[in-house]
Amino acid sequence: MVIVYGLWLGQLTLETLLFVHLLLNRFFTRHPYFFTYLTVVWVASVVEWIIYHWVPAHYTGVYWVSELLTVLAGFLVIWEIVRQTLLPFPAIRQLTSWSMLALVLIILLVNVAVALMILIANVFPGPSGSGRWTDLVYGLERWLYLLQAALLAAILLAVRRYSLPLGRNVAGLLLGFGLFASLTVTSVASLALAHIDLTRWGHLYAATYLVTLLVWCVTLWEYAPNPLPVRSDNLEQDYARLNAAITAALVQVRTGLRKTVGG
Amino acid sequence: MLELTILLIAGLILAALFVSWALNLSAGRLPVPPAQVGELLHLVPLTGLSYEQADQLFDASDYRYLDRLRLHDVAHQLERDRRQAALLWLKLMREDFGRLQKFRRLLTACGARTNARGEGALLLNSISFRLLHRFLEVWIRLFGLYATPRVYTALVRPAREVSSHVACALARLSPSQLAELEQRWTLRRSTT
Repeated sequence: MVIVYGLWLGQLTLETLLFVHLLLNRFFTRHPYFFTYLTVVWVASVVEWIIYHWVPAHYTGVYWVSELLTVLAGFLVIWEIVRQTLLPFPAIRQLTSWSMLALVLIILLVNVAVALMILIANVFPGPSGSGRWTDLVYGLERWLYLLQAALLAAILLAVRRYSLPLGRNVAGLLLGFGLFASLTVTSVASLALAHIDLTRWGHLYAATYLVTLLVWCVTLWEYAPNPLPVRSDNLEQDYARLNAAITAALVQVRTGLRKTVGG
Repeated sequence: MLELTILLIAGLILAALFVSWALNLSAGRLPVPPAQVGELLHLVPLTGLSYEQADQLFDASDYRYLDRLRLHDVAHQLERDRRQAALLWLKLMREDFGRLQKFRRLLTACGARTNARGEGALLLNSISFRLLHRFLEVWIRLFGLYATPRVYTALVRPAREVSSHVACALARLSPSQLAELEQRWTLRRSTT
């Protein structure tokens, strides 16, 4: 219990330190999406802390709703990384932004539905209702973290494939959040496989998040703009090739259709 | 059960990817002063590693182009010559790597500092270089130069990492240690 409380306290302290430092250094103008994520997470942590100490009866419901909110806010970090990395490639950035927006909207709808179910279950608790919601949230949460880790891994592979330069800030964001998402999936799955009570995963979660916050404190303490790529031809060539192939295929389909309809 | 196993494996693979990237990031932060690279190349001739057009040896596009033009004989002759050149370059790379390792041992004997992490990275680079070198050699002898550019890139990476590591260690030697190293290295090269 002391360890858990210590981890929680450490997490809240580091979060507050980072939040205040980034706020004072006007990071919201440089990394606005990451700053929004940090604000959401920090507010959620403070609210959880207050509810835990003053209104403990409502803690479980608030905890799960804030969990879902923070998982969803995690997509803002991914978007910040994509935005900074693809800044010199407007066409690809636009394509990525629409894909990500569609993905986040779908997830948002699912999340809102689950959050509403939790709230209803919390306000009108049934005889055996709470276990079902908890399982649902666990399931949703681990797949969302896996999705986030996979997206970050794809970004990392693209960065390596096209030799895109990463500044200290963006590298820190990618490393910190990538480690957090992948280790969270691993810890939740291994605990469930070993039939250990899933409510205990809070310790592992807190420890992993603490490591992430440390990485962010080290790499985001000073602003470092993302350097512009020296060689960007490969990425644009690949994109142009893909675009040309799709256009050619569409022309072929249209010609075939005209022939079929005309014939 | 199946869902959890998939999640566990996927999570572990992704975590390993990020951890290995983090390790590479911290290793890549070592600055290699250009003067020390020059000093290293002056002391240890790295013929294979410093050959900048080596990637073109593994590029099959030109003789495929000739083949498409139905100049099959010319294309085959070019492919055979290219294969011989690639094998010769691989031999030079093996010699370079061996020379680098001998030089590094002498560096340590002359007082260059080492640590467990550096030694571990060198060991991994050495293993991956030897495995990839052997694989590439056998592959080229058996199948020619098809699908080799990726292996070429993977082979050059550990050799470059070892040479950067040695250049960095060289930069940290004191003038007296450097003089001793030069003397012992010259003596060793004249005797072998």
